[in-house]
Amino acid sequence: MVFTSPVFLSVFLPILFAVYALSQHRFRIRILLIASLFFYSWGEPKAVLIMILIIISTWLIGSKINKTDDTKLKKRYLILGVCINLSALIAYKYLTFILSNFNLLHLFNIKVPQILLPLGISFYIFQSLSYLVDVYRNKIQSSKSLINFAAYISLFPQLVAGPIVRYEAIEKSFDDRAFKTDNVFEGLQRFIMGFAKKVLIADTMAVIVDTIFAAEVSTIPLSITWLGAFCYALQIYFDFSGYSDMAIGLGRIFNFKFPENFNYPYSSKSITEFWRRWHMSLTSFFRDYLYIPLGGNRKGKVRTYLNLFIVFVLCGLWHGASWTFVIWGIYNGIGLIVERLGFLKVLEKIPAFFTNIYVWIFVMVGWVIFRAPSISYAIDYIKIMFGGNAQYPLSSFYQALNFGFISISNGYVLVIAAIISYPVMSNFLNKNKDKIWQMAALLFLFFLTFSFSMTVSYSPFLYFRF
Amino acid sequence: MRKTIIVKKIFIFFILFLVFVPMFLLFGIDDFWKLYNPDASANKPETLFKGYEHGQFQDYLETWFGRHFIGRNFLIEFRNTAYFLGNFKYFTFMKSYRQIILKDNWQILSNDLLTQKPNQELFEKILFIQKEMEKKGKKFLFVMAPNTAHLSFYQRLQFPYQKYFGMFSRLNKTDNYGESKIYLNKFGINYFDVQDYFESLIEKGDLNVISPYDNHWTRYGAGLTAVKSLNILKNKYKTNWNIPKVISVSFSTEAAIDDRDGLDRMNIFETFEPEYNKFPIPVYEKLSKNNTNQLNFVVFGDSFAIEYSNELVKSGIIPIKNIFRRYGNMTEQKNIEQIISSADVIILIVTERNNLKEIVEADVIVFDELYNYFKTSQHDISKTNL
Repeated sequence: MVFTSPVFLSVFLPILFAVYALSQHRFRIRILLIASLFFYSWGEPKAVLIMILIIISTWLIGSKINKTDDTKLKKRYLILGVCINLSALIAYKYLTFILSNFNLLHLFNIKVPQILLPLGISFYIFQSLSYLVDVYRNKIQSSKSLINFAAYISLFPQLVAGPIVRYEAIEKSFDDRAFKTDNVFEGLQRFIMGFAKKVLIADTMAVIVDTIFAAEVSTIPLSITWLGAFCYALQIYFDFSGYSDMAIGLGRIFNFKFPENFNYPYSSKSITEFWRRWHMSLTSFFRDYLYIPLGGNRKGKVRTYLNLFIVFVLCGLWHGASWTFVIWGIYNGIGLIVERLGFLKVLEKIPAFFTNIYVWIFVMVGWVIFRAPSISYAIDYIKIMFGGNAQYPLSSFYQALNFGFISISNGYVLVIAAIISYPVMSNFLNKNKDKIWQMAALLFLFFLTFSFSMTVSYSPFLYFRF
Repeated sequence: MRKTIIVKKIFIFFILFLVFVPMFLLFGIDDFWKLYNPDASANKPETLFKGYEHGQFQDYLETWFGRHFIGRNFLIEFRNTAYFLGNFKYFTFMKSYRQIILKDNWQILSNDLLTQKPNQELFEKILFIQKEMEKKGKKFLFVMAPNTAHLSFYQRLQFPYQKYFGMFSRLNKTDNYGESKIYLNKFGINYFDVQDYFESLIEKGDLNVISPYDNHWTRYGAGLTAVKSLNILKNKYKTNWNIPKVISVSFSTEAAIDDRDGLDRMNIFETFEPEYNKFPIPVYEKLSKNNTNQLNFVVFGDSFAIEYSNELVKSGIIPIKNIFRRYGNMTEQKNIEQIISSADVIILIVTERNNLKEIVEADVIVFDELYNYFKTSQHDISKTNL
């Protein structure tokens, strides 16, 4: 069940609203938990058992860590918890990849099992890990209630594609179960914005992107390769930030405050800044639970660069068990290291307009690697982007029209998407937050998006596969 | 403060209302909104949660709910309107989710990505195929189905004001068909101007060539096209073929598949209207001597090609075993090279709409297949010469 599907919008959500609103406060977390498990089982009827096992084992180990004063024992419990969580992640997400690579290297000749990736496993495993480490570090007390903890891991708004929520961020919200008009209003507004981002913008960009990336790479004109990369940059941003907005909005409706996940990343002036604004809940996870424990920047320059490199290789791998994701991670890691080596100071002296163009180019090349079906495809595509091997090097944007995949309305959406990926509207919208005309506009936007979502075929969110 | 709270509550109420409305479906009043489209209909899951563990129940429910929810038709109209508002100044507000009629008889599918110029490369390919065919002593004809926006039931769905505002058109004054004719003439392609032919028949009062419920030609229209096109080939290549004439039209009370797209596929009409409840069928002349039944025919194209080739068989011009037709990949996979090399006549049929861009879906496969076949065999010849 995806947030944009008719069954979610018109059956699941209204029923949950009604039951939740009519029930007593003390039952509301249980209702949310049951709804979340049902939501998850709808798409993954069998994988829900894996999640339940992770929930129970993590909760039990968390309680053990909290109860014991013996530091060594605490550490052993933590290692046990981390191993359980990571082994589930490795088994379901990386085992096929690892074995097929071993086979390629002729190290073994094992039959590679086809394992289906349980929805959202990367997200809820990371939440479990953050919980265990935070309990170990005495940052939080372990949850006394299994129901609260289960709700924290499985809460349906953020379950399948984040944001990655820390337990401490929502711990207190479990006790405050009132339905507040302000929160519902704010949540609905946020949900509508995310809904529109996904359906009207990301799905429109997908039409262009899918057509370009489905073509034989050598036949794609130079300008079209850039168009494809640009549209994909917009697609992935509006798809993922749209989902995050919907998740944050739904959380708000039910009185939870989830962390922000995006802060206009394409307005950045360096790759370092880009990663402070892109998928913030993931980058902060890697910072707090990997980069800093590895030593961060406290152990000299070489070690800092090595730590950054490790973080980004793993960040790439987190996105998927494929070499394209690993290369994408390395590419970004190298970009950050180069900036740390002194390029950042050079960038500070250059006008913002040009540094922003540099970020766009760097990121677009990265997204090509990310989107490409194979490394060789990515290399060929990037070669054409920079003039090599292009059969139609001088082709113009007009060719996109003759190419047959960009209509005038898609063009409008493209321009609007490019504009609103910058914070040009945010001040204006914040100033007019409670104005009636803005509510009317939002209602219209909702109706428009609703009509689009109801009449197009299934379009899962890109980040579901991670 | 109090006023803001009330406004917020109203806003919440509206959103909840919008998401609650389709839930009435669950209480069994979906018949009121039933779609008359077999492509769009889906069965309600028989038993609650049956096959849940394998995701079957979920698939059934999502499909059924998505296709039958209350207000779907209106939302589709609204979406189409919004979608095309950006592309065109005005347009027809249609119930169909697929067919859109624009000003000046431009007609597109809602998922078409319209460009303003015909695809010149397509005509170059057709010319190439024609030349290669003729080099090998084979006969070739390109048939472009008539402008359906102008002649078919789409005409009935256009608002009258369109003709008064046509002067503000951003697109060329000619329709898709007219645009294509410019290129067909420029390249010297051997083609049959079906639109001109149909218009002359309609002027004479013969209104049976195109179904009032379908964008395709009727069986009668397809039969006339088949006979006329073979006469064009006969004259051009100076053959002695005996081709039967269509001597009259009879009427069936049962609609053929190609009589009812507007009802079945597009969900535009709910029932046949009384004045159109008879369906024209061609009556062919009986020939004492048939000298075309040894010819091998290949008909490549889309749904028009299927109807056309049906009539070639039904008229008795070609026995079914001597005809090969290909609609995308919808026919059985045969050795295509063998079929083309043994063909005496190749007829290429395309819906006029498709000249605007890279031919879509099924059509692109057949065009490229033919083109690639001749392109490859040309290489082979050059290799032999070396």
